[in-house]
Amino acid sequence: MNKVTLILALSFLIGLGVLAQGNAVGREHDSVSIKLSSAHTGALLFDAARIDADKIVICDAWVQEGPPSQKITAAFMLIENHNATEISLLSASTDAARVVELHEMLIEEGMMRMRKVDAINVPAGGVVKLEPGGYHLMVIDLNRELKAGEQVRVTLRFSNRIEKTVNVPVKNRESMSEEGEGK
Amino acid sequence: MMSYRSITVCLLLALAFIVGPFSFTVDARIKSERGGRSWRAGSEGANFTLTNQDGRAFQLSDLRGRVVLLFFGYTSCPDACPTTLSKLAKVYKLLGPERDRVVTLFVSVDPGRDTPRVLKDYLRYFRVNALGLTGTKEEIDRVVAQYGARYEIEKADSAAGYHINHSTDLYLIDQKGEVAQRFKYEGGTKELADAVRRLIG
Repeated sequence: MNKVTLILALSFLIGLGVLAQGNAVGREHDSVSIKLSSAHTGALLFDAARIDADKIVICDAWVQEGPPSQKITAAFMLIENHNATEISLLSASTDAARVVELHEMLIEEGMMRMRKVDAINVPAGGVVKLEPGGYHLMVIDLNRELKAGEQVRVTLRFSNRIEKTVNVPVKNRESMSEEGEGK
Repeated sequence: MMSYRSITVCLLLALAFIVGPFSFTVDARIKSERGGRSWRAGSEGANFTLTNQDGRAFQLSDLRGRVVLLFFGYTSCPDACPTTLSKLAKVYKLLGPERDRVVTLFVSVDPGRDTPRVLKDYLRYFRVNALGLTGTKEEIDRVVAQYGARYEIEKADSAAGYHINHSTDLYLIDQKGEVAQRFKYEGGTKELADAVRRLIG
């Protein structure tokens, strides 16, 4: 009997050890998703004074500086919706390029996939992040070279005929990621 | 005294504890094999020939004795490729004076748009010691297969024309031209720099 108990106890210990390892792997994955989504949860604690009548707030917007030879780039931002109903970003344009499209990028089993989307929905009282590894504004056919420190004007068109124009700074990707990724 | 029944239950539980996580591992492996070709460290990295950003023939064996970081991408890629190149710029920064012993290979999967000239202008922007490689579609496909990578050209309803879905793994190749390690897109810069340092010794 004692032997049986011993074997059982050992099996359990080994089993628990293996399980703990499995969990550790799981946690690593979690931390990735947390890192991707935890950027700006405090954004909704807003200062009423800076909210326009349309109750949409654009913050942390930036356009990616790229190689001068490239005619495309991407723009990122947070869109806060302080309305009681959902709104949708339907299209965008800029003075710096011929076309702006709404795109979504995702990594699926190690594969980068990109697709054009018709709308980006922002829930009532919620925020949507356009950020690397997720949604971006695809800026196509740049009409000038964009250098870090400059600004471009971006007009966003939402459902309910809401239109918003914002000045968006051009930033260098490397300096951006230095702030975020401590890894 | 335990009854046979409770012993059986305990044994089954113990078995589940032990086998459970393993079945998970097997699952993941099948998944990755279905996604691309099966891959084993050391089994890839055989030599290949492509064209570099100066329009000259390039062989992986030209870099014997140096550590190589290789990944697949294309210059019209708005997010993933700039992310990887920015990450590599940080790796080079962490490497400090040892940076000259590490060469990055950006293998284009877009021969239609990425001519040697385009690759040269593109890579010059990033603070990475990188060579841009291109070739005919057949030449590129062969290297892609060799590394168990994947890509697919997607005709998009986009003013940017087609776009390319591609695998994002980064291959760390040792001084003998063999793949030492394969990194996921999410991999951190420090982890990468440490692995490079271990190879440099």
